[in-house]
Amino acid sequence: MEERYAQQFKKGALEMILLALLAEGESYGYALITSLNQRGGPVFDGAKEGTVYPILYRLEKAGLVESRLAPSGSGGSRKYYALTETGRRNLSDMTAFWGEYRRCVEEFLLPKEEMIWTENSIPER
Amino acid sequence: MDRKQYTREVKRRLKLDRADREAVLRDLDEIFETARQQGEQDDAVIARLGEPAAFAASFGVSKGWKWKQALWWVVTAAAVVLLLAALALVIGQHQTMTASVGIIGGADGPTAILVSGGIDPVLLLLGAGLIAAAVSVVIRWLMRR
Repeated sequence: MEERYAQQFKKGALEMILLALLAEGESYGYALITSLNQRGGPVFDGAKEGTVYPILYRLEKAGLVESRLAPSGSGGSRKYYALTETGRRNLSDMTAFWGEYRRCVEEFLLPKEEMIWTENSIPER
Repeated sequence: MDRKQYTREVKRRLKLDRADREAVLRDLDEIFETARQQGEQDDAVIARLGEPAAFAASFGVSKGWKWKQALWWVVTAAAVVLLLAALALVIGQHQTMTASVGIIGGADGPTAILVSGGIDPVLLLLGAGLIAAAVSVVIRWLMRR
């Protein structure tokens, strides 16, 4: 698959995934990137600071997350993010929509009689 | 490009109000510090972050930034035009003055001022130009903070 299609998919999903990770508890940039890389396997392996920090910044601007600064070991500071009430509501709305969205997209992508999905193969028409 | 230069380039390109800009620069610091703790060189981080312009752009634009930017251009252009007009008038007057010196052979400063009469248009343009320049500096300052 061409890289730019993959980029588009990830762009939309990353905000939701970051909100979902923060729903598990307060966290900070590096830890979030590490979870993404570990749990996302090859798909989110490439998640980098340059992608994640701007998203966190925008989520905070939008009021979905809030942050606090705490000193880090090296003398600098580390920003801890947590979900706000608005963020929690948005995440549950997004989750509901995601289920609907996925079902709808699959209606188009997968012919009904071939809904059984085998690894590495898209059913032939 | 080292960490300091990279940070400076990002700072220059962020289209954010002061508080937001400081927040982003602190984020950048945290990125570099965390990587250092993981035993990574600054060079590797810079390569991964990409061009400073692209990194800065991913944080978007503060509310009102574009409007201030447009206003800044207009006022700066007005200042330049007014100051150039004042300069042109000064040169013009100087030429007529030296010309009259050539013809009459004895006109002095006070006479020249008497000839122009009323409010000196040069002073008027110069004043307006300087005010416009000052306003443009203030707008720039407002954008930076």
